[in-house]
Amino acid sequence: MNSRLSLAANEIGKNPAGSLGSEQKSSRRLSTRDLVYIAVLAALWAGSENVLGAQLHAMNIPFNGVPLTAIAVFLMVTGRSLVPKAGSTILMGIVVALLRMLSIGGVLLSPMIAILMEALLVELAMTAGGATQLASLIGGALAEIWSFVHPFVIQPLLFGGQILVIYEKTILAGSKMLGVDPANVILIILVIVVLHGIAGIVAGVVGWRFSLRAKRVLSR
Amino acid sequence: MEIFAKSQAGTQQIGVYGAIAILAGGLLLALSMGGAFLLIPLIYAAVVCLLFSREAFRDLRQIVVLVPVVIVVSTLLWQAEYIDPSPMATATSSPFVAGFIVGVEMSVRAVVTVLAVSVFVRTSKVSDLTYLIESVSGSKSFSFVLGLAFNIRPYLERISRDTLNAIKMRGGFTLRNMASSISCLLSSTTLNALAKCQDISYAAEARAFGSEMKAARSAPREQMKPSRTDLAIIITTVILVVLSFVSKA
Repeated sequence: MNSRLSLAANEIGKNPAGSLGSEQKSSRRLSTRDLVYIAVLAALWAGSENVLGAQLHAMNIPFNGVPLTAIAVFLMVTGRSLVPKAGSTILMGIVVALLRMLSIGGVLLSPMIAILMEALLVELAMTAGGATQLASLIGGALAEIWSFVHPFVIQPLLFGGQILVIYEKTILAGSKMLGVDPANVILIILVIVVLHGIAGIVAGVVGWRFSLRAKRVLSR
Repeated sequence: MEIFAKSQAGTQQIGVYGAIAILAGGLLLALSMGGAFLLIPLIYAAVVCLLFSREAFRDLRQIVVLVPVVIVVSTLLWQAEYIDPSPMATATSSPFVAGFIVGVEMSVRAVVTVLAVSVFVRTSKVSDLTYLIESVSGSKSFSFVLGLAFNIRPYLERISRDTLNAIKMRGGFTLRNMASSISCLLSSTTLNALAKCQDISYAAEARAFGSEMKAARSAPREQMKPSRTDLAIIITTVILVVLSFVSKA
């Protein structure tokens, strides 16, 4: 984390020493414009979490994490494309989590962990694969899948490991009641996971294409 | 933007060290204690909330639906063949009673976790947290990013509202063109926001942000030290955790 967040607000290439090593070091650092990009995109993400998230939560729509995560992936991929440096996406996630912390409303723990995990997954994908379309769609798919898996991770954290037994018993009892084979229940869950992954891939591709367009517009 | 004006009624600002001690102590006790010993973290969390942030009790509404569901499902579905039952659950013969007790245990754990996180979030100052993150990471620019993100929200809100109105005036957001309207809203808002970045970065650099540390010596920051309240919280939490583990052993 130390190296990821060792971000200094120095202009690239302004180092008076001018040696190769120092140039490489400064190119890893975030310039003022990079920091501004991260801040603006983080503010947009936080705005969508607060406004759209609150609306969807109030309407009690199932899988309401899908559109929220899709927007987050779109913004993260755009940000990573504009600031292709390790740590920029996780920095965005930390800022959004802290902005979420400042907002009113009781639900704090779960969205903060979700935001940080989504940022971490996209960061990992785009650090390993570079700022490419493939990495962005993999990162998007991972982040969307996390939005489905998230309650099953957060609830054992809240309630303890015993909740997993409750899940197992509920699936068995439910499948028995509906006359469905438990294996089919697992298949249904897998299908939902795959659908989340596809939504993430779409968001990643859209974000990547948008970032190319944004680069063109901003370079005018 | 009153959505961001977090209510601080009945909340005392304690130092970030004290808040971290409360969070760590509460979570450690909640995760490690079981059976009747779970009353220790529950009482600890309740007392801490009463002393420092009564508002934290309001955050329990996020699990107010989940807790009865967990208790009912646990009571109905818990069976004796579960290989690792809790100590209290094994003391009873009926699987329903055992399931009910396990459900209550899980609920208590959830209540303690929510209260500990809520007290941490509500009592610690964001500026202290930012300073702590900057100290740990060695970064000098985190507070700039956070401050800018916080302050630019009204501008982003305005451009998104303008874009929304423009799309609506052109007959957008009907069932037929919902997808394209959303796409236009998102891309237009993001592009407008990104177009502003250039001006902001120039403005920041004009105010000497981002200049070399050697050239512009920044004013030394006041070191963050734990206050007496923080020390009292840390010592109490450590003693409580040690006593809990000793008594459990």
